[in-house]
Amino acid sequence: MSKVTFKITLTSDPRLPYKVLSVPDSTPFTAVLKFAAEEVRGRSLVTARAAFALRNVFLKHGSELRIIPRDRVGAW
Amino acid sequence: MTARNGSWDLALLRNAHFGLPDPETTIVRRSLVSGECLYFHYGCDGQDDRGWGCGYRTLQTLSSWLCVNGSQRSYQKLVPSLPEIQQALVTMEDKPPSFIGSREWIGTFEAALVLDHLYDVPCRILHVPGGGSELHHHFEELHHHFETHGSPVMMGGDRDNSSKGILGVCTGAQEIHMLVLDPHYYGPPLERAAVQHSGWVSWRSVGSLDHCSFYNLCLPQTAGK
Repeated sequence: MSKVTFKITLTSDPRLPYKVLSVPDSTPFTAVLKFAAEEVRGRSLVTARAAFALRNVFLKHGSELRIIPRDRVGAW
Repeated sequence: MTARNGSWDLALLRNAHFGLPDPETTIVRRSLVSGECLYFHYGCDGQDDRGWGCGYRTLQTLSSWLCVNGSQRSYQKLVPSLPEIQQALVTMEDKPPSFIGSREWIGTFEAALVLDHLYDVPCRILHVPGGGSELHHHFEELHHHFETHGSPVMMGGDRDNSSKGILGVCTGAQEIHMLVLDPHYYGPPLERAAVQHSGWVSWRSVGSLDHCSFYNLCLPQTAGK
């Protein structure tokens, strides 16, 4: 079974904590994101879709995933 | 591109930055938006969105560029209204139905979702955790964006929670600068000279940005589309 490796970095934390995950290459990407969010933030998520609706979003950069905070603009 | 409201002639200003002087005498490299875009700002379509709509307005400016300069898929499409932007986000299930009609703020991630949804244009989100003090590390990237894609950029942050349209970048002998289109103007349409004189479009040095705010930049990927 071939595997693919992701390095997942929480960029909103200045210490840049990260986890390295190796999963079978047949693993659905949404499952990887769900697991990544749970692992990096230590909370369980109901669905992968919920991850997208949270404050943080994911960036894919090559084999790296970065969790970044959403910006919110409105005031002046 | 015009729209009509009961009280204002809503002929939006095109290319607000044309003729704006360089920020320094000696310019090493200047990279600007290509083509044309319109200046969307608070209340420009008759909807008073002061205090919450600036992100939407910058998104409309980016949309206007795609409608005029984009590929066949986006050319001559319409710029979405604020309610239409909200509807798109609900349709994509990024926001709950209660979002429609609200005054909730959006940011660069929402802008990226909307541009992809409406115009089939993907966007790259550039995250700068260190704010103004770190932005100069990404300037080569921004020069490359304007020289390759030519599309305007949306910039948002956390502590700096005012939306900015970025129409270009400039490396001078002394400093590096961003050409900022500010959507916070509220009032009747202005001529280009007045917009520039009042500073609603201006060069801002990277050093003047908030060093305690992270910034996200939404870069529409339009080259080759």
